[in-house]
Amino acid sequence: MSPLSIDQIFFIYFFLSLSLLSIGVIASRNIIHSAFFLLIFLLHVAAVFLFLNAEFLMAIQIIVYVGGVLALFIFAIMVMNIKDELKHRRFVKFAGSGFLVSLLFFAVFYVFLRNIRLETSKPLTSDTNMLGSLLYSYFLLPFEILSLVLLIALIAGILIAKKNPKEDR
Amino acid sequence: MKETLYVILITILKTALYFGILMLHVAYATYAERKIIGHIQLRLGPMVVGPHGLLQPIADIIKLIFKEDIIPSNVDKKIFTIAPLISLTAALSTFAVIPVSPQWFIADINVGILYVLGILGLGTYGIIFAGWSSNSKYAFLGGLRSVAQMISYEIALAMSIVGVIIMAESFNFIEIVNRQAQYPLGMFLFPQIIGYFVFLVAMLAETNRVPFDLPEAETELVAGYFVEYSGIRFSLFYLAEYLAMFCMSALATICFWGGWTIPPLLVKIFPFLSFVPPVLWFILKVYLHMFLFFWFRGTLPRYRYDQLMAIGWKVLIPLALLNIVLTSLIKYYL
Repeated sequence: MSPLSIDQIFFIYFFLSLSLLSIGVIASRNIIHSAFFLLIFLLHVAAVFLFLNAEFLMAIQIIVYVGGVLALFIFAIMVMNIKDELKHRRFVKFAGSGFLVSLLFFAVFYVFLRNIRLETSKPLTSDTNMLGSLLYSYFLLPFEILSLVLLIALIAGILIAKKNPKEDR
Repeated sequence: MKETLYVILITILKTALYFGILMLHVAYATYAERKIIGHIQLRLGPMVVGPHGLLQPIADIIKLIFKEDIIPSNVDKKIFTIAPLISLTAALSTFAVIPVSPQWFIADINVGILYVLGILGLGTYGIIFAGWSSNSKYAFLGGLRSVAQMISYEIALAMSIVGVIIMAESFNFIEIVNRQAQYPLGMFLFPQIIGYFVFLVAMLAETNRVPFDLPEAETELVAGYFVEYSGIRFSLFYLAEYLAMFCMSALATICFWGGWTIPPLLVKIFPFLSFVPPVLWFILKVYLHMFLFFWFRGTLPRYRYDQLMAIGWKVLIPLALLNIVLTSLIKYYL
């Protein structure tokens, strides 16, 4: 067996740590510990992006998911009472169906990914300029639709969170 | 393989050197802060240890290292011990991409600005986890306040830099500085004056400094999120805070003050200035911003919490958006 190249060592490390961390997220009983595992998990995903030469995605992953989304998660978690959560039993009785669903999921995944062939001859380069110009020319319509969807979600969020003035009185 | 090892070795050496210089800076930043605030309040500041109290930071470090590291009985031990390390790591790793002169940097990456903004946001987690795991009311409230504050001001901070990115057409620090050197004044400060104002205010809030030091407001929360910490772990939080201040100052220097370049106009008037090494200019500009931090602390009272949120969402973010629109319009029509 030939010695592993640095790329392969990194790949094995990320593969193992990502799977272990994601198990940690769902398996820990303390919800803050879950959040902590999720933090490290998201950082590892950012590192995988960097590994695939996607510098821009790496930075955006850290800013959006680590800096924004997870911080809001924890903010919501902190105002909850986690002592109540600890009293509940785990969902052990659904383990069988969960196993079946995951089996089905991975089977479908395998069917889809079976025929993928990577083009190794083309050198991967990252170019943020190209990303920007593509986003505003070729992918303009999907981009605008997405921004509209996000705007609707934002307005809906504000409407739900807003107190009804009649209830106050 | 051999070349890879060589690169790794050189990087480790560079990092160690950089680390040593940074630690020395942080130690003497605390001394400078006490001296400057002392003189603002017509006191002398530390005077006892060494001439003019110059050895005071060394004495402080020795005291903090040899103090007992107390872990209270009701804390969540794992998170409690890891929280200060998260803060420190986040603050330290930003310096990996900040160039001090055209030749002096550890890593020169294409998305430098985005990387620094993202990693700085990580520092929040140290504070949240510290506040939560301490199992104490004051620490918890400090942590909550800090999350809300940092999320709000991170948006303003990132948006204030967008103007600079549009003008420089790059995320790379060295490219940004080179682009500024083409202007007669050698800095983006004047075309980006709105952006600089927003950056300056958001910078104070992001590092939890006066007048936005609500997470550690002494009069209300004792010390905020690190009440339960002592000894070396306590000092790690302080270290992280001062490192974040240095990082913000360096960011302001690179993005708005032209980094290590000398304004070309000044060189025309005083030709001898071109002999000053670039590192010196960079450090001078960073010290200016550090002085601003201390000056604000000596002069401004603390804001109330609702005022803090109102400034962030109703003033800074609209101003930053206006700056982006104006910059893009000028860029498009010129």
